[in-house]
Amino acid sequence: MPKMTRRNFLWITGGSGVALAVDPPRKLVNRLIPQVIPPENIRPGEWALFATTCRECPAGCGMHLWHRDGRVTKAEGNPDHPVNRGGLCPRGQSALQGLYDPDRLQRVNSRPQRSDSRAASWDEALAAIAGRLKAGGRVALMSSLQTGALAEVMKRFAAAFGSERLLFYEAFSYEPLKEAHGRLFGLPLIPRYRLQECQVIVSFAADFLESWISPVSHASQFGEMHAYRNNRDMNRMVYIGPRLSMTAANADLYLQVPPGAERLVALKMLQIILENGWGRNGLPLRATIKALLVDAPHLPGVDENKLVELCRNFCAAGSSVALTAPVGSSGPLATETAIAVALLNYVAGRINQTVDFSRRHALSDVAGENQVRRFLASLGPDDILFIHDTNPLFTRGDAALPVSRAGMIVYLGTLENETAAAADWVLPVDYPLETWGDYDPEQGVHGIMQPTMARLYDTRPVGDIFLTLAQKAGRPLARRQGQAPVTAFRDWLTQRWHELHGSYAQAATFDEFWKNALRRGGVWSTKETPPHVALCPEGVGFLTPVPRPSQLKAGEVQVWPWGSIMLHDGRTANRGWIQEAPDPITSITWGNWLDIDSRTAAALNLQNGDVAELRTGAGSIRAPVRITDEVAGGVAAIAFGQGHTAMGRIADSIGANPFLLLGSGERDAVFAHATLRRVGGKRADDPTYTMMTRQQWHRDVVQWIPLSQVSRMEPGDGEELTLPLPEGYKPERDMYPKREYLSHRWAMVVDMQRCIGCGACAVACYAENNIPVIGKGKVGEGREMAWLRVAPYRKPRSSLRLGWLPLLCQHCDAAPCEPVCPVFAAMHNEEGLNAQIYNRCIGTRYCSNNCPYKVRRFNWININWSKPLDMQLNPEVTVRSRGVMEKCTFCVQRIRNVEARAARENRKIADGEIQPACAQSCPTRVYTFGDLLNPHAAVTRLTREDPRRYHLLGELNTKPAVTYLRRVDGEE
Amino acid sequence: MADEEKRVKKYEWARGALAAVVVLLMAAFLLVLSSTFYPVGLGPRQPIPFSHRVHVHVKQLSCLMCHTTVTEQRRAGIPPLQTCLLCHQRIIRTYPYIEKLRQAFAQGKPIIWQRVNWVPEFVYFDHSLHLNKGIDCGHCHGNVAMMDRVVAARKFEMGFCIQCHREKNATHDCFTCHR
Repeated sequence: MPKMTRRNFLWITGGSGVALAVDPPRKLVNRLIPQVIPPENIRPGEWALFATTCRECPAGCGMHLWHRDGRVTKAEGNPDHPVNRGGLCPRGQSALQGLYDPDRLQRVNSRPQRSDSRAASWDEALAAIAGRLKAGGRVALMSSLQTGALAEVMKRFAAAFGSERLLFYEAFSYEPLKEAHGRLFGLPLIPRYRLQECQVIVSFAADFLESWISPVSHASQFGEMHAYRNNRDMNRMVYIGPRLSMTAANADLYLQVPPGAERLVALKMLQIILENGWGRNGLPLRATIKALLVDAPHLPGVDENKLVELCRNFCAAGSSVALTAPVGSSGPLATETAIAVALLNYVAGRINQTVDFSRRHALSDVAGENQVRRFLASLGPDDILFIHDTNPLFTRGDAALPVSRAGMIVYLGTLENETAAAADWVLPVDYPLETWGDYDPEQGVHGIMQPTMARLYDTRPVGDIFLTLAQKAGRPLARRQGQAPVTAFRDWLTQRWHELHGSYAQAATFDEFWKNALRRGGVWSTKETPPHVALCPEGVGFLTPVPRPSQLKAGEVQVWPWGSIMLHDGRTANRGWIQEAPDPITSITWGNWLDIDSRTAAALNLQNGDVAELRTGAGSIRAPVRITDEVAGGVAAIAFGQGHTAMGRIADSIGANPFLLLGSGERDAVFAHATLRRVGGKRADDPTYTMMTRQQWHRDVVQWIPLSQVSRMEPGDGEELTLPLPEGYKPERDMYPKREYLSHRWAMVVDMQRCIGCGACAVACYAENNIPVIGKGKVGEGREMAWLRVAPYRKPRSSLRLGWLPLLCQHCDAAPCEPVCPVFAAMHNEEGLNAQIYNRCIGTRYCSNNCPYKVRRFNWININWSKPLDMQLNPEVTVRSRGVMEKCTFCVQRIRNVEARAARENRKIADGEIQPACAQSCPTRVYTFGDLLNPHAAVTRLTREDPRRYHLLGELNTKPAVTYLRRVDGEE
Repeated sequence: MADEEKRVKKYEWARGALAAVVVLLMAAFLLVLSSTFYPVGLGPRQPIPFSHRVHVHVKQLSCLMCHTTVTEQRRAGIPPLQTCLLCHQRIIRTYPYIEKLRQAFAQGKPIIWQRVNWVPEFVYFDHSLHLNKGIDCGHCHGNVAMMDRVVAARKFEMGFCIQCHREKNATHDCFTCHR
């Protein structure tokens, strides 16, 4: 470089000055890249829809993936699918973030003896593994739950290499249910629970709306069952358990009992039913049950009269069901509860009525605790251990040592995690959205998976890897004995579906059948024949007498880990949407915490937010405490799923992992006993709340109406609302001029009785509207960007009843935000929408100050969408930058699309044709969206006539376009 | 004699100057009149000098022949190479640039065009709605039929959109284009 003289300096600065002054045009990538040969039915710049099956948990919901220009941007529930019927949970929505995870495994990695990772080629990896197989290595195969073609391949693969050791491992196995049904009915399986037709649901700590077996299916059925339909009788749900979970908060009656006491309540119910002779099936067990309960203690939280009434209702109802087996539980106590609950169902005649054994759930194939232990104990130096898409080293504290004994560990998965870190070979496999496959969530339901976009990296389908390995090792796999070997998984799948074709649609050709299955997302039968169910009374012998509870020693608590709706068993922890979605009960994001009651806290000198250590025989964890009356005394409750140590940039070092506490096999605890002690003071932003209070402070934002009152009301009765229409304009009341609408006035009705608080809508909103995830620190500063929040509020004068307020922009007619904007960025649109025009906004934030609902969000920082997460961005929604205010638009892009389609087809928009993202994803159908100018629209009927209607903060005369329907209080 | 030679030389010099002046004048004249003779202007160079004038003006092809989705979708659609070969696998096969096109097609490689007409990313425009309302392509894209290299005939700024919406009494809703 030449010497910097005065002359050089002037020359350089002068040059850059000129460059700045002439303002070079913005650098644009303005190229048009046409296709060479266009694929059929995929049109550039237009949406295409792919039906597939969600594989984020074993529930196997049907999914629709919106695809545009080679990438998928939005996952929605498949309305035709028999499992989820259109809804999709937050985890299912976040499948996209799993696909586009920046931390995804992208190439084959070799880590011999767990040394440093080295990139390798597929040929190298397959040759090395096949070499070991050829040399006589024995196969041990551990996988997340698979059914259908992939399960067949795995079975054949394990068998070809002389092994029976194929284990479908899920951390949440529901083993107690399986065992109870096996012992009592000779049917060791998990049935389908038909909740929709129930008049009474009794849940013994089964959080069936959150993560239990098939949460979307249950939520959707519960929504129908528990909705208010202008009737005198309300269907009821009763929850008995130690913690106020989201499910418990939805219950009409919540009985708080210590962990394990669910068994006692179930047995007591059984006793009451037998003594009164209310049962429909005879059960010669009166003496046995009585003997079991001789020593039983009295439970403070359970009112004897209420229990008797519950028993009467449970048996007298046309249909009812009792559920149990909290997620992650196993062991004798949980099994005993399950047996007692199964007996309840049997006595009330619910077997094959609401407990549908004809639909065997796929989860019945999951390995039980003993099988897992046997599998782990069998591993030795001759073994090649294949682990596919499951993370035993995270979900079992005792897995690391036995796994390390295996001669070679091959991890097949999509994401780096604790198990992959311990493997010799890490093989990146296709994400379920990129590959062919099938999954049968229950008997008679065959879901199909198809590639929704081209694969992002050099990954392969799992099935292909096993088929190739078998071939290379000299033992190619055939689907049936005597058939030619199959080399591609896709062919295997086709062969399987040829068989299904034979049993499902013989009339059509296979091609038609196949195309139809791809279009619908699978095939399903309408009816399955139920197996004969006979009670084997010997099963009852498993029950042990209920002892007096042993007093907990000072500092001792019972651990009550629970499966959170967002994180399940932790597999979704590396996704921003999931971490930033607030917990439905506490609205805590980014981390987990210990719930303890105030007496335990006082005894241990713990303050809110202090860090405490929980130690069991198996391990210990540290987490901040939250002191609350939502858990029973002597309980420490904490959510599963956090505390990853090797998963990715987002999941790492967030929260604590309660799986480490389990596995010491205590007989008298559902999970474990632990000692609790204070280890530190409050850490900043831990836990991080998005809402500091659930009190309503007499503002009545969430309102309840007693059943006795609402059932006497006729349509049209109730509150007179000031509608967001010209008729709502009163010169004496209104400050702002009248608004006229010519074509449409979009509006929404939110039925809070249906809302279970799951937050699926909020995550759907993130996905649809390119809402950034801003991270723990910024959430702590109150800067989360959610356009829609589902805020929990306590019912006034009741400590354990919550109601959720799905709060989005109210699109007010007299919107306080509009007149204060100096640049007209907040505009009232011709169709009633309160528009925020980003390119006009200068960021004064006056609008947010003036909004009484606090639904506007300001971009304090520029968000960097780390690649390839930016591929998820919805191309129809502007990505906002720093200094811009943003908020809910009622999904205007969807409105415009439907309007354009109707205009092109020269017709009117049908009612219900437009579905905002929140309404689409909601499993319980909380939202109704439509045009208030259409007198026949559902939204008009509900807004004008539903007796439960009210406007949020209606006294402000903002004339909101969102009408809420009160929750119905059946208990009073 | 010597005088005469001198004079001739002098005139030769003058003739040269005159010729230069005439040439310059004519050049200036052409330059001035070029907008009359070739009014549409020239856009950026493209990898293949595809001429809209030849195809639309001379051969009288309809816009919709290649921009097939313009009446049904928001985008007009840039034709895939397959569309070019509808004709060019039979006619004018050996012209060098068409040879290049056919090679690209055989290799499955797209031709990457320079984009000429565009709106910023925060503007959502729909072709089909405008065509269905009877707005001619030329209203925004100019006289493409006479363009050899497509050029942006209008500045796509908001004023241009609004002016037309005002004249035609179309919507003034911000949410129509910005969302």
